[in-house]
Amino acid sequence: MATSAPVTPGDTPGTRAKLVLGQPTFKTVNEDIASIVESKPTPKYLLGLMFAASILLVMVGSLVKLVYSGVGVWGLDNTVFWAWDITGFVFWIGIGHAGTLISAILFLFRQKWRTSINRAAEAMTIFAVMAAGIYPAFHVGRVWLLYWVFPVPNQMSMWPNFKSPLLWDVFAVSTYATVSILFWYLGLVPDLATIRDRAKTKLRYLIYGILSLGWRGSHRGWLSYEKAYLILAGLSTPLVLSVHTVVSFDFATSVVPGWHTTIFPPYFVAGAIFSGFAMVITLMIVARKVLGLEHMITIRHLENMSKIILATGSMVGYAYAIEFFIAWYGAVEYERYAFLNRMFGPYWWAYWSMVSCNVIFPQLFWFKKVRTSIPALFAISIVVNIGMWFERFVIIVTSLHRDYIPSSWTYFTPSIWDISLFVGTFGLFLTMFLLFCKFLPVIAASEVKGVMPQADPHGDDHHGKDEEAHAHG
Amino acid sequence: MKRLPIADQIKQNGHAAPSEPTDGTIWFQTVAELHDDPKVAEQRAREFPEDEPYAPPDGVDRRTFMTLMGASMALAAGVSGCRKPEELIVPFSKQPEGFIPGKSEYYATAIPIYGTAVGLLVESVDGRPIKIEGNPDHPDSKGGTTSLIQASILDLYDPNRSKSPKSGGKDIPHEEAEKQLAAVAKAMVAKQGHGLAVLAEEHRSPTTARHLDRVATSLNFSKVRRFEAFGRENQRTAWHNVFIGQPLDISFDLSAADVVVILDADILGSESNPVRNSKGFAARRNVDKGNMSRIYVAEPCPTVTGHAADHRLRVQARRVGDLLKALASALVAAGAPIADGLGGTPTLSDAEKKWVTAAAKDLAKAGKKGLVALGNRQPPGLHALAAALNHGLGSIGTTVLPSLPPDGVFTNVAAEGVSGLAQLVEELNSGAVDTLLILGGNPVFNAPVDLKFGEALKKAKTSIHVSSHYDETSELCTLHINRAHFLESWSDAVSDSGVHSVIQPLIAPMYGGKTDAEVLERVLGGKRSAYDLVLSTWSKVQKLDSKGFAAVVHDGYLVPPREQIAPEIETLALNAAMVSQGLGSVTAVAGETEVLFAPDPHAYDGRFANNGWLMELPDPIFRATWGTVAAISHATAKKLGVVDGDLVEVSIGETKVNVPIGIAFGHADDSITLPVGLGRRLKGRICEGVGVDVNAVRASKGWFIAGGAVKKAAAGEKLAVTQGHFVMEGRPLIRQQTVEQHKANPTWGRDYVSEKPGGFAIHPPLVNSWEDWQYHGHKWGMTFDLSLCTGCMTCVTACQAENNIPVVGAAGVLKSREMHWLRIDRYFAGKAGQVDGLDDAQAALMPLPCQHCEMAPCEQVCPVNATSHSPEGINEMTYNRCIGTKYCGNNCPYKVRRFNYFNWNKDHPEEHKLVLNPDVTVRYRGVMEKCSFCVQRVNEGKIAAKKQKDPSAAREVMRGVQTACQQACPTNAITFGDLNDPGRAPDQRGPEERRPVSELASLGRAYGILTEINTRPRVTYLARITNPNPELPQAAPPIGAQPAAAHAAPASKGEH
Repeated sequence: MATSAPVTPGDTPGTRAKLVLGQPTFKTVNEDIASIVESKPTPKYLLGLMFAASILLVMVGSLVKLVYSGVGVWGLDNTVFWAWDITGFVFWIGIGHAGTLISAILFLFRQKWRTSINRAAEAMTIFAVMAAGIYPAFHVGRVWLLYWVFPVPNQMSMWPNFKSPLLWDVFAVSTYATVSILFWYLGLVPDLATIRDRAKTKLRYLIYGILSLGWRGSHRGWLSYEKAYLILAGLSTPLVLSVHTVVSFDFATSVVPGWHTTIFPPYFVAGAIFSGFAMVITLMIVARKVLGLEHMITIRHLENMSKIILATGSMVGYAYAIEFFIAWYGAVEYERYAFLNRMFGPYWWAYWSMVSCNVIFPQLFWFKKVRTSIPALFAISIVVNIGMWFERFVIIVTSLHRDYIPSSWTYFTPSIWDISLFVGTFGLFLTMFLLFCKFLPVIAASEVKGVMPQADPHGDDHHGKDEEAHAHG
Repeated sequence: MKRLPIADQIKQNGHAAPSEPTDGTIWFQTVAELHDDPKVAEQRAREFPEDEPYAPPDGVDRRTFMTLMGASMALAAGVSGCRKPEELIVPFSKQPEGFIPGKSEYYATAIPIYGTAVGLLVESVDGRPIKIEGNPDHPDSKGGTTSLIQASILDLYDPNRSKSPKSGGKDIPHEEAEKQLAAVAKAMVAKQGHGLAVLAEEHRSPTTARHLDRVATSLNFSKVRRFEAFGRENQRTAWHNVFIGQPLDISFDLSAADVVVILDADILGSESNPVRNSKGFAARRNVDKGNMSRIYVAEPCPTVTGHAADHRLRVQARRVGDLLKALASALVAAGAPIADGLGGTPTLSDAEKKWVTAAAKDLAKAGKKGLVALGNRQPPGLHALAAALNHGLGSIGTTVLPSLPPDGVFTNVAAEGVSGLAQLVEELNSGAVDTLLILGGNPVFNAPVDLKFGEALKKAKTSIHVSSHYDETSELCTLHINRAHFLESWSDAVSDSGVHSVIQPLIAPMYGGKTDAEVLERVLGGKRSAYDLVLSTWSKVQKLDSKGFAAVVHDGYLVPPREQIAPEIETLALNAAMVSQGLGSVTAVAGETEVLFAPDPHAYDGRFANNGWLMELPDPIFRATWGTVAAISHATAKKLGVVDGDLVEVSIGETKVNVPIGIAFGHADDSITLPVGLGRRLKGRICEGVGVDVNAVRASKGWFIAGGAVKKAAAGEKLAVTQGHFVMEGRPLIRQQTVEQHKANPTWGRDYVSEKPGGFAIHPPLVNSWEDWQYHGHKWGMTFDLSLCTGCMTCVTACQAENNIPVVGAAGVLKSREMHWLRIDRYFAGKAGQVDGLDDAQAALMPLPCQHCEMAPCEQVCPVNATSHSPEGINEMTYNRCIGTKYCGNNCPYKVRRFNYFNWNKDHPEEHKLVLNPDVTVRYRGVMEKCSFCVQRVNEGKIAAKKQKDPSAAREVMRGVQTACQQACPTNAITFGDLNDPGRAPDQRGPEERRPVSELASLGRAYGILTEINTRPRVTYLARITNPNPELPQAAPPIGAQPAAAHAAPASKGEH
């Protein structure tokens, strides 16, 4: 295991903090990362895995009940047809955004600080998309016919309706999942090869050997690898924007007051990045401590991410404000009512929870003290995730429960199965993440090595004193 | 348990001796039998072993069904006049002529209900009746029905119906019951009827009446009584007293009335003949014809009649007498030829005075075209005064039509109602009556509590109850005979306007039930079948030969000669002394709160308690389902400190009952209305444990109106209401004008925009995203005339029956998952959070089915194209294709889509499957459903039209296509048809022919709702036009419909 490195902010004006603290060598980096895979799981880890897996069982149980009895086990009614299900979907899809953003956009912008968190963030993306996918699949009345949403040529000449935003969702989310998995896997290849090379058992050698696709670390290999990585990064970048844009179309293209607004695409993307980074912070704070990676996932990484949260949180706050302005300025009575109803209607508590969690608390990140305090970071990141869940709930439920015809207005209350499925998706997410931590390299070792001083024998030849000229989070 | 088809049961009940084996082999069933146990031998002889009580099948299997079908076909063939109907239950050996499997056939019949009879046409598919329609030719109902009538077909298939006679709680074979009846007959003939009493309900059957007469004459010491929980005895008694010394029924002709004053009478909803009255009402509420009547209603509890009023006054029921007396005086003052001195000068509030004065002036002006209607629950003394007023106005014979009741046996009005029942109880207690025959009804459940009818009944040596269910009364009787449903046996009925009908069965008695007349025949020692009894009545009374009888059966009604219906109007001389005497007999109802009893909207007097459609039908007051809700005013609720669903304790004298309340805006203060009919002890799959039995406080004194006290008892549970928000929030959904405003501004309804800048209905130019649909053939559309809609909910039940709409139960309703494709929204004028003063608010109604939008938001969002636009403009739902994303439901601005959250059809009892319409898919769990404009009927019409050679004949066929809601609507408020078809030229239309939908949809008061979001709905609403008296203050119209001058829309309104 790694020697515990001093965790200091290390920033003095004019110079940047080191990305990797202590005096690591390539060997210690390899050692630190691969040993997690190679060592026996600790009792603590096993306990955590059991805990996560038991929550996963809650999800499985909830789904069995759902499919056995029907969607009626949820609290939905004939006015509010979507509630916790689509809230959960958008929540998880949003969380998935940070991974791709870190791996693709920050890569293209040469933000080298991303290297020690990108692997875990990408894994988180994939697991979040998996959790998200549960909802659109199982919220339908007849899940066994779900394949009808795909344009599968068939003898019945049935074809999906390309006008429907739900269909766009199908393509957007499946594309996103595919590209994310490819991107993540590609990045894993060199590190998998490292584990293969260090393997002391036959089985490990075999498995990681197959997974590493015959990686030799040759120059040609690296050349192709870097190109492929760049291409995938380029492909992923528009996806970061498109997925949540398309998800927001589910609402924006409808006629429901409170949904039908043009601000939704940028607002949803900002919100997604906001919540995604919050989730990365939450996970990284735990992971770096538990896995002893504090010298690689440094306070600087966390601070950079908190700055992104501050920025996107402010964007989200701006969106909330402009939504209200437009509702008033647009002079559509139904719209005005919908927004007033959000603030002062029966779901006022959800609205104000959302505003305080998403707009007020992240403002604390203006203070460096808060940005560099682990407990504060941890608390606010969780608050942001709660807030973002509420945001989706507010958008979906408060708009639906009182729309055009007052006679149909209802009040949605979740059933036990609504709650259990949502809790259960955390089980899936955590189980997958814990398995990932144990069986795959949590940090992209090859990339971390690339940002260490050793990787640049000529020192400051090109960039003066600044190691990472553009690394301004 | 043995499950035997009915035919086999009948065969087996013949006790054919088991044939002995001849080859020496011993066949045995048990070891005991092998040892020749005498007990076993006895059991074997018995057919149904003791330890395994005979249980009738709790379902009807396919084989039985086919048998029954054969029987009804045989009957049907007989009816067409070629041969005498045979009552054998045999399957087809030859297909009857004209019968095509799967094709609907319609048979005329009638239902006895509301103390009258309503003519029906019942749809039958493959021998099973599946849907009730009104008989369009019937002079009373003219094709209309009510919810109770629509739902009565479900009772035919009620799995909890009594399926065999019972004695001592055990099933007995029909033969055994016949034997017992024969024994009674024998004993009674010997005793000349000593000790026999017959208790009838308001049956309306001439055949039953003839037999009751026979009982009264041939068993001349017997007693015949009549009791009905909500009968018309008060009115009948009054007319008996003030006119000819004979009870008279009355019916109303609202189509002849210019001014209608209705006092505490729900004549469009639950009393008198609501179908006939609704038709009459509708005939006079057409602003385009320009002959609008004016309707004044004073009532304690809001009813559909109150909804329809131009001027509704909320007043305690006990103060209706004051109002009526003041009306009498005011009429005299207004110069109407009313005998002076009948009225008085009771103290009235200012509003009441104004209302009475205005009504009296209008009435006096209308003369014989005026009408004063008084409710059944008002005492006979006041009915006498009302009769005097109508007599004075000259309206008897024009708007008030008397008719002779079918049974002459009740010339003694004391034998009727509570007093008749009280006599009976006394006789039972004293032993003067030891044999009691109860024909229908359920007096143990709904007789006055102080009479302790159940206790008295137990004293009878022999008590026989003929009823559809083994109910509270049956349990206490020595013999229960299962009664035939009106759709399964022969009977007849006469309406309160004197129109006779033969009740023709559509199916053989499913469980061998008997009619009242048949049981009476047995008690008189006869053996004839129901058919023979009816035939003999008609040949005797109406002098019809079999051909004439067949014609009546075919047509469904017979209007007998005038003199047979009622005495000459001129001979009706008013006995003013009796009026004064009657008025003197009216006693004031004391008590801090008046307690009113009304029939339950879901169960009537309890007889429909096990009917799922009715149980889940939102009531007109609260939109509540599945339970008893007592109504009180908002002010009273505030005083008591209760909110909706809270329990109050109602005490009358020593008796008490706890009942959940609902706040009924428009209810009189210090008054509570208790619906009677739920809280049954019957073990029924629907009614068990639902509601509160308020009969516990209903005593013979204060039978309809009692003085009592109400206090808060406990916090209650949420009411299972289908609508929780009663304020329109300023949205211009319901638009309303007065006649004058409409004349001044006939297009206001269509062109309405909010006066507020940026208000409702203002919108930028509407642009279509893609090309418009082109309609070269049909283009279906529908209009709802809000002037005519009374909110009676008949259309909702009709839709449920036609479209196999499931019932979701109280839990489902509480979760807002009711499945009704068509709902009636009800709003009050007012603002959110401002409920004070709503007690006087006007209610407004709006039926709302799928709007079949031209630019349907639902169609665009379905990922699998399960909901799509038909080439004829119907927004279609393809259940097979639906995967249940529910996105369409979210995006429907009208919220008319209904999702099958569970498999609501899973628990269909076997019998209920028989009522399902084979033309409509039974939806599975997980799919969306909604109004289809009855596409199955449209297609049926198209198939029929295709067969026509002549295009104009084909067009006529298509003009005959009606949706279920339209067909059932008793006020013709709903019109469906082809918007591309201009219809017959106005000069070629019949006198009562409705205008085609294309014409209605282009009226100046026709508007679509939410057109500003460019959905372009296919359903249009005709703005409600009221005809208020300019001298009276007007209730605030529903918001969004301020009768202000129309503003030009700031931009193009788009198309409607």
